[in-house]
Amino acid sequence: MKKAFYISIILFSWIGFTKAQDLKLQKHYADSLFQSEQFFDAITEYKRLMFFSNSDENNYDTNFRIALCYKAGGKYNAAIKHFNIAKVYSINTQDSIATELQIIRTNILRRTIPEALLLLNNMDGAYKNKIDSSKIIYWRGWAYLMADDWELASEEFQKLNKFHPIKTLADSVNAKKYSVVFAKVASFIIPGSGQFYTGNYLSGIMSLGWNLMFGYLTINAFLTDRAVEGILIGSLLWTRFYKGNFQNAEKFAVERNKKISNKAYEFLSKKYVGEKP
Amino acid sequence: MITYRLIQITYLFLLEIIFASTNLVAQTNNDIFSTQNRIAFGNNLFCERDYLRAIDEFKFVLKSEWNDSLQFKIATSYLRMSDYNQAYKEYQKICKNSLLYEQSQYEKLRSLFKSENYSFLNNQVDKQILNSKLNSLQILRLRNSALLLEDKTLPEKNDFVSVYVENDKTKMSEFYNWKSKPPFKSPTTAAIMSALIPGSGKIYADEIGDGITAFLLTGLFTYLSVDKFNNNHNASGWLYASLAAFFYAGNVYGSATAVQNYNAGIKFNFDSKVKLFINDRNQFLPTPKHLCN
Repeated sequence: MKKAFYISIILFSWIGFTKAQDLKLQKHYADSLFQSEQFFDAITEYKRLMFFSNSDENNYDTNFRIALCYKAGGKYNAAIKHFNIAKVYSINTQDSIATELQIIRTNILRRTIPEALLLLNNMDGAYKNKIDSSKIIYWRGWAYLMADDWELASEEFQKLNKFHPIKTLADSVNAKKYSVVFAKVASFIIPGSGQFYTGNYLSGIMSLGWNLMFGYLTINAFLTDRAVEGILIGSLLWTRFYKGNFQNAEKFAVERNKKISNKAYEFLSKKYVGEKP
Repeated sequence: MITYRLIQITYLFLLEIIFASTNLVAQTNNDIFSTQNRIAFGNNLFCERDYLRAIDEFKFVLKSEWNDSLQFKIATSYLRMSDYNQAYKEYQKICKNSLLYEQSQYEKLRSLFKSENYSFLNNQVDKQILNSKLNSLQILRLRNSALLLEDKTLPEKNDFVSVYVENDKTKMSEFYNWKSKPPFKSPTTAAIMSALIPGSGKIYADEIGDGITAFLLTGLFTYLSVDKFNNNHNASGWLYASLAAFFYAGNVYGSATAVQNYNAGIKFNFDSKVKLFINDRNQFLPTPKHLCN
């Protein structure tokens, strides 16, 4: 009788073992898909693993990886959703920190910068002495970079290292950038000068020419007692070209700045070797 | 001793049976890629609205065995992903003898409506009405609603409105009145008005500011031109005359296009209102039940 009892225990535990083995194999399978960057299939297999797993044991790791797959595929909302689920299942502070940082990085990529900055500030308070503060500074710097605020980004990276490559880049971008206000005000005072400042010489000359011509015609009309003509030329033509002149100067400055920023982003994406969001 | 031995043998025999059966269960339930488990997982994905993956699971199962409820879910997944043409094709695969055939016919009509293929929807409704299994009143409601969105003549008002439930009749009657006599404005009238009084065509097209500006500018340039000719400043006279003519002609043409824009705008608003009303009522068709139970 005793023998039979032992046999039955062995048999039942064998069944349980088979299932556990299956899930272990499934995890390996999903991991291999993840490693080979087949993210769509990896998500399916991780979801399958979670669906058939009776315990919460793998939930942190699985949700974290699902989120990473979504992030890699550019599905940032789904990624943040799964990072948040992973956070619920995190068993230690280090896991929570890792998940929180990933949420912040995804927010940076999603360009929801205010949210990323808010989360960074919260982390600063919540995990005091538990997190390397340089990490917070680093991602805050990245948040400012992606918000196109190179000045604040430079300040953040300077806190890490005076010669940090991103600080140097941010400084050079800042130096290259045009002042939108200056371009506009300059064109306000001398038509075409804002365009000259942004390097659009032809447009600057044209703008100056049009404004001089219509300015002369308007003033001349008033001086020769042709007030109606003066009002007409002044209101319909001169003001139109004058307004267009400083609007153009502003547009050119913004466009140039965008080009400078994009070039820097391209450098960061292709050549920067450090950690990226 | 014999009794003890007998009990022992019986116990071992029973244990063998249990083992055999549990082993069988293990093969079906523990194999997470078994048909049964794929269906369960697919259903979970479907209910989580991960339709693309749910389709993959269901299609894999359908490779080995036919299951009309899975086929229905595949089609519904496409419908919910707004791939209406594919949804229609998938609903079409459900056979006549299936319990889901009736619902799939409704869903086909829904797909056609959602894909804005109204003329084909019209044809299909005519065919379906012959099929006594479907509720012809429901599909007539959808067909009549679709007629409001098409450039077709509407049936008699009573015939049109009578198919709807009491609560919807007033709204459908309003839509009917709008469609039969849309408050469109005439581009020709606008052009003639602007030809007679510059700017009036624009005001007729609800562009009051533009109308006043056009009136003032054309008037001013005309006055300046006449004034210049009267003072023998012929060159300036011609310059202002050509400006006046340019503004005048532009205003006549602009008034006609403004009316066309106005008409397109109110038609767009009407279509949006109708679609909102119809979608609010689930296209007047019964919705599939128990898909996520």
